[in-house]
Amino acid sequence: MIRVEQLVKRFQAGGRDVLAVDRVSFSVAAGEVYGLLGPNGAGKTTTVRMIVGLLRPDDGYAEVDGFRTSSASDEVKSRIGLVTAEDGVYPWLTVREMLLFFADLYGVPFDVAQERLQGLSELLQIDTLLDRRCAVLSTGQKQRVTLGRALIHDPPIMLLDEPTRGLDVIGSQVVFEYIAHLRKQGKAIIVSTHQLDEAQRLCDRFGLLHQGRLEYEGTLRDLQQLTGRESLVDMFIGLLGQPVIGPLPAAG
Amino acid sequence: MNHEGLDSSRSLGAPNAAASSQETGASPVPTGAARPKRRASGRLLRLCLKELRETLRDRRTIVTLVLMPLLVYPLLSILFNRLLSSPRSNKTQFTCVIGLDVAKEDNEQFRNYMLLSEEVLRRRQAMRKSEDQQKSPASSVGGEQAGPEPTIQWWSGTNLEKPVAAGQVDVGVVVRRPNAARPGRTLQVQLLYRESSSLSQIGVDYLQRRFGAFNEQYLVERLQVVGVNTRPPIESEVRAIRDARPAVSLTTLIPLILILMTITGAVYPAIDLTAGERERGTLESLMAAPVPRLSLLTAKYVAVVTVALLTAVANLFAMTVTLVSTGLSEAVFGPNGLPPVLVAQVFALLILFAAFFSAILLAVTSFARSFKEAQAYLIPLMLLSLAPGMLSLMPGLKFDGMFSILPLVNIVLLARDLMEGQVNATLATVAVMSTAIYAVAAIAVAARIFGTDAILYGSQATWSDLLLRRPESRTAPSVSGALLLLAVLFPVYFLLANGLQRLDWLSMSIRLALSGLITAALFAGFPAVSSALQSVRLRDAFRIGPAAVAGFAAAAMFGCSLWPLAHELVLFSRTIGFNTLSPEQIQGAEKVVEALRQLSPAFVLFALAVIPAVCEELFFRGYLFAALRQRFSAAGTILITAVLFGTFHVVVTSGLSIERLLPSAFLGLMLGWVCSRTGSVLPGMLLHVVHNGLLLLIMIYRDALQRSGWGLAEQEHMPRMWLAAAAVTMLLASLLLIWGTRRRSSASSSGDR
Repeated sequence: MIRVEQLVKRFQAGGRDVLAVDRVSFSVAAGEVYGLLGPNGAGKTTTVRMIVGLLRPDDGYAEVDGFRTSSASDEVKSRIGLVTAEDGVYPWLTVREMLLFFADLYGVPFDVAQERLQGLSELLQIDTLLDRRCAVLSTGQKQRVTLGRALIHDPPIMLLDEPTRGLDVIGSQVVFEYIAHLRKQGKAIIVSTHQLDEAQRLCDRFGLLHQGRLEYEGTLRDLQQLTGRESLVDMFIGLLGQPVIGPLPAAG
Repeated sequence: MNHEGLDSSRSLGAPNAAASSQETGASPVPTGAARPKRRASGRLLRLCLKELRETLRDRRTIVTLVLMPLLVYPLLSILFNRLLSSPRSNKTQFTCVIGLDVAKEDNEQFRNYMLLSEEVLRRRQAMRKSEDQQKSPASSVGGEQAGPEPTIQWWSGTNLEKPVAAGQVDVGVVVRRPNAARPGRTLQVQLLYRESSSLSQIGVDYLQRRFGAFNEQYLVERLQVVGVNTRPPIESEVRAIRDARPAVSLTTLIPLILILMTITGAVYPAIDLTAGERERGTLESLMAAPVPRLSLLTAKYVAVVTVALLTAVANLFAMTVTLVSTGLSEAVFGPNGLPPVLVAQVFALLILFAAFFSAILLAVTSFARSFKEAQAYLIPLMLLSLAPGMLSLMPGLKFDGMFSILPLVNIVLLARDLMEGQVNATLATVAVMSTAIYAVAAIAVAARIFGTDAILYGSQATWSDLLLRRPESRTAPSVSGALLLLAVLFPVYFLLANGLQRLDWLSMSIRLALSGLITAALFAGFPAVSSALQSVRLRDAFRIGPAAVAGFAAAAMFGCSLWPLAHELVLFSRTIGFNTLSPEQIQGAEKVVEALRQLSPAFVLFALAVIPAVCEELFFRGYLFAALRQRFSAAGTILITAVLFGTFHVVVTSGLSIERLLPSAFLGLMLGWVCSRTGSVLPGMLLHVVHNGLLLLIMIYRDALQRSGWGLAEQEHMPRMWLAAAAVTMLLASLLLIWGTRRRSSASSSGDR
């Protein structure tokens, strides 16, 4: 479903080039949850943005469902549901209006959107909030509305960039449970998060990013063998502690 | 035109939401890109509604919309009243504070004098009134009567300079005796007043009128005692006639205020809907949706214009109420007050202005990453837009060619002329057209900037990067680039064409050469530079490509047969009232033709037929067509380029002539059709050259033609036979064109994308 091939992104910082993403390649199949993990500034968010087509890669490409981001951006965008930590809401619109607006942006017919809105709001427990202005929602409620927004066009692919930032334990729980539910529906999902224990339980495969490079990739067992460490937390500490070695051949 | 079907079918059949539906069982989701066009227009409407809903629910919008006019106009009306109340209007009551500094022993004498002078004045007024009634009852305005009579409040003290300067006292009266040693009847009075205060001046008038009357009466009485004839050598009477044009031109001030108020209405929504998206964190999800940015921006634009218009309506209403209720409308527009037609016209102009300024605002605020940044960008814009407003306040400024294309100035001056009831239709048309073109270009810029990654993620990109950078190498110039170019070309061309007119001291051949140069630079040079900047190959940008021989043949036939119809269209335009050519202009044109006859026909043909034809084709059917064709259907592109082609020809050659709009647009339609069918700019060039050349030759050799019985007068209808022959040729050419290009169009419909 998702294929990322030798993606490169450079940024200008303080007058010199910084490699934010350095030849990253991986792929995610339908029904699979891929954990894109790494410390802050590792290049997770930049990678996600390049997959959606919000940033243009300097080299390499991303493919979704056989469509290249660079040449068929609308085809790619219509297949992706994007949730990011900075997602906002329209304070003056009601939850229902906002969700229907996004359904419209994705070209979902009105009656289908209505139906889906009903189903989604029950699942995400926002059905009582539908006619409230977004401005009065709590952080957790907003995040659930954002999830609903990303799903209103029933995309086969979900990209979740730190979907639990700012949420309490219960709020995070709802989100992760929902991700598991989405996997059952056969969606291809990329999650980037700092909640490693949750990620360890949820994701099928992992990609560990550090300084723009995909250092390790594979299932939990693969990673345990590669690094010789038990948990993701330990691997992380190892990753940050030891000097960076050359990238391993991507498993995908 | 087989091209049209392409757009809707271009991405159908993509392996779409199959993956999502196979497991969920949900109905397949048609993606935005694959939606048929019908839905897209409905969606645009819904997008507009969402933006409007968002803005109109915002309290801040409502404040500027409703509260501002409610507060501003009553305040303004007070200001207007002050401005208008010259000392001759006696509508309003003033209270004037007069400070008196007088020695105790002189106090009684001064009071006495004042009482006596009041008495004299009253007697005189009574006398004049009875005289007036004998003469004619109407002429009661005149002399001292017309002055305002303030209510006087006396105040006493010493050192009056201070209270006068502080405004505590309006007029200070310092009474002194000229020579204290020899008491007499004369008192010396010094009046202190503030120059800047009209109330102060009114007070001085009040006092001087009394002193003057008293002194006069005193002299008369003394002379009568001596037995001298007291009729003065000069008997004067002052009559005030109301100024038809008030000192401060309210007719300019009112549109300016309305325009400024409309701006205040548009500013907040413009910031909120662009920079606000980023600030709220909704911009990213918006950009992640498969919607063209131009659609998003158009929806936002409609919302901003709507709010601006609502503000304009609120302001116009408040202003009308204020003007009528305070009686100011009479002062400005004469005894009939504010005519409703004028209110409607001003409103139409405000619509135009709102459309223009909202576009500019969006273009500027799209650059901003936050509210604060947007406000910082807007301050220079506001100052910049104040300047033309101030300029238009200058009395005696004529609304002419140059000003009709200056953004904002043209609207303010047009509004002023409207209110003064003297509008030049041609200039008004040019002003409206150029404003519309600027607005479209600004929206194009906004769509290009809004939500780009530089704005979205704040990466450091320079402005030139934002405007010029293209993601991939392209095969056609961008729409926004083309619209921008158009916005530059139109005023520049207008200015140069007008300027060339004034150079009549140059010889005809030099003027022709200059005109050719200008045409080549503008219509071929500018687009070529623009294409190079966008790294589009010139062949692609100008649609220079091979075309079927039949296409050229049909173009030549059209070239021979279109002009009689174009001629009839000119006459038709004149009959429906589009007649802007004055007799002098026709005479001037005749002189030009006479001068042309003196030159070598080959040179004239080259300068006036070949160069304009080739260059205009390169721009209208080449560059512009290629750019617009990406966004619009073939028919839409033909129509838009034809209308623009017609618009440019309104300002071409001998000044301005609206009657050229229809025939030129018609020619543009045919040229567009030929260009679209053949897929190349070249046959159209042939058509254009033949068409222009024939018209020129007919003009140059008119006398010779008339002698040999092929007479054709400028103002007359064509002979029926000619029209019939032209129609048949056109028909044949059309058939030839369709037949000759059938293979190309079927090939392109399968090959295109």
